[in-house]
Amino acid sequence: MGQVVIETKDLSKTYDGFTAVDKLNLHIEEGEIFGFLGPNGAGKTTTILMLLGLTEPSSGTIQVCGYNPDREPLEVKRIVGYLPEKVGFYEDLTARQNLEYTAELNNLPRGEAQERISNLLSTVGLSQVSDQEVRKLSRGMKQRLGIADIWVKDPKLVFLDEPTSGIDPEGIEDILNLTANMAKRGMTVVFCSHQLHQVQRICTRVGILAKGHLVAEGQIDGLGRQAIAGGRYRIEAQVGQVHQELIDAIKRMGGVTEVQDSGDSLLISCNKDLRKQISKLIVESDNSLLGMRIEEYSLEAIYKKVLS
Amino acid sequence: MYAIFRKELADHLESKRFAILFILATLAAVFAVLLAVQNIRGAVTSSSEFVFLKIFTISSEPLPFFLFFISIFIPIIGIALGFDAVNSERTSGNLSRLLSQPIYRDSIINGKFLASLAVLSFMVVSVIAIVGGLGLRIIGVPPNSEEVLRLVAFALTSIIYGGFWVALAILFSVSFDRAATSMLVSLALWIFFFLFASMIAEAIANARVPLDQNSSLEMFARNIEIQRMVSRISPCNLYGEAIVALLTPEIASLNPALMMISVTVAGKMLTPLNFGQSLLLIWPQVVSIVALAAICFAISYIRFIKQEIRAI
Amino acid sequence: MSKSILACLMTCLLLCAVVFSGLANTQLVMAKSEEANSLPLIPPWQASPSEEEIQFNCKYPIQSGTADSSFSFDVDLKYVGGEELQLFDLSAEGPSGWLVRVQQTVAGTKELPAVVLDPTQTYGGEKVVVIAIPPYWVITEPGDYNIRLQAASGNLEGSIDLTVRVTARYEFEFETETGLLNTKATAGKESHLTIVVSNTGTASLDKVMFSSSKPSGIGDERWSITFKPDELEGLKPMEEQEVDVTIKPPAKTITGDYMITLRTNSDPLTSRSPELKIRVTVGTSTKWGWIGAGIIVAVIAGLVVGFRKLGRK
Repeated sequence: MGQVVIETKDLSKTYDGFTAVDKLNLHIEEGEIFGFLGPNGAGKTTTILMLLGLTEPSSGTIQVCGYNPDREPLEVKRIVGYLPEKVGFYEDLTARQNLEYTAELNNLPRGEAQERISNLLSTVGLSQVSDQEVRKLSRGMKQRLGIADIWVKDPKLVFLDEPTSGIDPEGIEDILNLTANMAKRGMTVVFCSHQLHQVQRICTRVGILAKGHLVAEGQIDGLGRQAIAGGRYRIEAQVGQVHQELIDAIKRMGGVTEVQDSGDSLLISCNKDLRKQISKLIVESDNSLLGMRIEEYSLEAIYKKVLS
Repeated sequence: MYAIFRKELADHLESKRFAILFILATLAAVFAVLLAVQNIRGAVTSSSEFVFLKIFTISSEPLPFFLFFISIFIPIIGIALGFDAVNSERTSGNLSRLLSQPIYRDSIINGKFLASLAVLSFMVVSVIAIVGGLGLRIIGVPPNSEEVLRLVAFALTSIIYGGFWVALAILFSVSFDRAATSMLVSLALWIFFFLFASMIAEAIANARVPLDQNSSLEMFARNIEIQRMVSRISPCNLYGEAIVALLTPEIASLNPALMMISVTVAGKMLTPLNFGQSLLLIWPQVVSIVALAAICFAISYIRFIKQEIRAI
Repeated sequence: MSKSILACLMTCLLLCAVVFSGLANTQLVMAKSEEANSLPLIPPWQASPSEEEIQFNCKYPIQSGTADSSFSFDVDLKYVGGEELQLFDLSAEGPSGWLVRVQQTVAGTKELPAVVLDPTQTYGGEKVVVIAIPPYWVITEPGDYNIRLQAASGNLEGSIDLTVRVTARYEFEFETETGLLNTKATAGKESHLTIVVSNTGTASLDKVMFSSSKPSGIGDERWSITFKPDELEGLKPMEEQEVDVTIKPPAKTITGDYMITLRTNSDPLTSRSPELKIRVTVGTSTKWGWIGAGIIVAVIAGLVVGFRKLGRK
């Protein structure tokens, strides 16, 4: 794939004896939308802060776009956008003024900044309220303004820390679309969230962090099989009558490792997709097949499994 | 840093806090001067060359004089300009956003300090100029060059003193997460310095050198000397001594006991000091205030730089 | 010893005369004639009663006063030597321009052109008052002026010379030209005030000199108050002369009201040297006033510009 954007090696952070991040190895490539998951206190935000150079790692190395954030924080900050979880704006300033300030802090020439800000405000759908004070904006609007704010500096890499918390479904939809939009424009996005289905919708890859450890990492479906079923496919078949003969017959099929009887349905674990064969077998054994489905690995299930 | 300075400056200038303080300070100063000017004729003795400075130093009962007003307003303004410098950024969620911008971390605190100092200077200079202009209009006696120099020195000393309070308030704004806490602590410290430092000094002096009716002049002098020395722990007193000496050239010594003795015993005439000598007289005070301000700023600077940005 | 006995005797005789005077005219004349011979206290007209004449007696025949006063002389007239009542015409005359009248009393308004005198009246005389008033339209020079009172009846006539000694009154007034007792001045600048000195006395003043008392100034600079001319010479009565007063407050004068006192002195001295207390209102010199106002305006402008430039809106 593309260029490596984030690379950490045995990254650790200890606060007063408490280990927030423990030997974390991350590898994120350009153009990815990386879902960064984990319960509260797992160390997600700490990791981001270290990646931004806002917090010093206790040990380990970090490379962000080839820079060491600890030594060259300014270079990193120039190309990295960070939307903190509790993003705040200057309430007395208008949306536009807030963005102008950010542009100024990034040393953008005034004319260019104005143009970019106008475009961004319309991209995030805030053109109407761009000259209102931020205090009058809704939570969702502020969140979108936050997106625009990190976009002002046209970053290569974007960290979104819980960008969808506390806003309404429509707002969430907007944020997700914008995030996808950013990725489309070539930005690498690191998306931290608890909202697993959102992550599932937009992220190409996820990493799950628990107690400072990266407990799972990869693309969602592969990750699911790996985490939940030990890499197997699980097929659920609803049959008219469950009896031992059928179970034994299925068990005898090649590739089937386990069959569980759950009353009116059978749970079949196998190492490849055997739905055709199983349905044929059921029908041929004069039983009625009422339904069949192969289990999809929802992120939620993976998450629960991984963290349990 | 310039962007931060500009933004903070604009914030201050547009804040209600600034408007209210500025109007209050100006009104108080103008009032004090208008009343003082009515007494100026009586206060101007034939030997006095510094008529213009009298505008600033004459009191008109029952209202205190201009210097008193300004010595109250400067700490309040300084505190108001600094107490929420850092913690408000933190609580509003702006700090982490700000810190993720490509700026040096110290430029945030530097920019804020300089912006507050600029606003303070703006206010001090404006108030002095308005009062001076008004005084000139009313009494019609122009200041001579030495008086102008003294006023400039007065303005500078006031700005330095205000800088101390700004630095102190910023220190508390770095140390306390809540703006209300840092404001209360700053104000409490000010009240301590302003009111209690002198009382404590008096108590210590009386404990060391008890005075009664039979006490000799020397005893009185020693008592006052101890009081002076102890009360100099308070920047309020340092500033007070400095500006009184600056605007009252007749004061030849900051030690009232010495003054008393030299006048009563030696029969020394009170001849005004020249500017250089006055400056020499208050030099320790000014340096102390600068040092205090620098210490406060350095501590807040280091604390801010070292402060970890924690996850939540 | 002999002197006190004589005084005793005289007192007794005088007492006797008073007692007898109530009894009868003839007896009294007798008694008087006896007394006249022996005592010097007898009025002069009884010295030679045999001859017919009119006698004048004025106790204060010389009076002195300033030219603007009126003089009155009490004159007693006595007709002696005659036997019947006689009407005498009275006339009094003084220097030209003088008003001279004969009246019964000082306060009276009626002139007495004639008087009836009784030769048999032995006690006292008939009292008339001669009023002499110097002319009011011209100041009468100091000096002695003769007023003569004449009484005539037929061939019999007599007169008395009264002397009015006009003395000089030295007096002058002193006020500002406008009559106002306040003026305006500017610190460090001269301002002028015209005062008028008028001789209201009856004689010319050799010299009128001026001095002033000043408010205390600041530093070594003092108020300066100068008079031009700094003295007046030979100011005639009724004459007035203008004096220009230059008032210069020190440059560092605080605006406000100051009292200055302009004093005078004269030669010859007058009973009262007039003085003027003048309130000088020192205003801001326009220059500094404008500069003061300018500073305030500049500060406000600076504030506005500062807000515009440094603020956002």
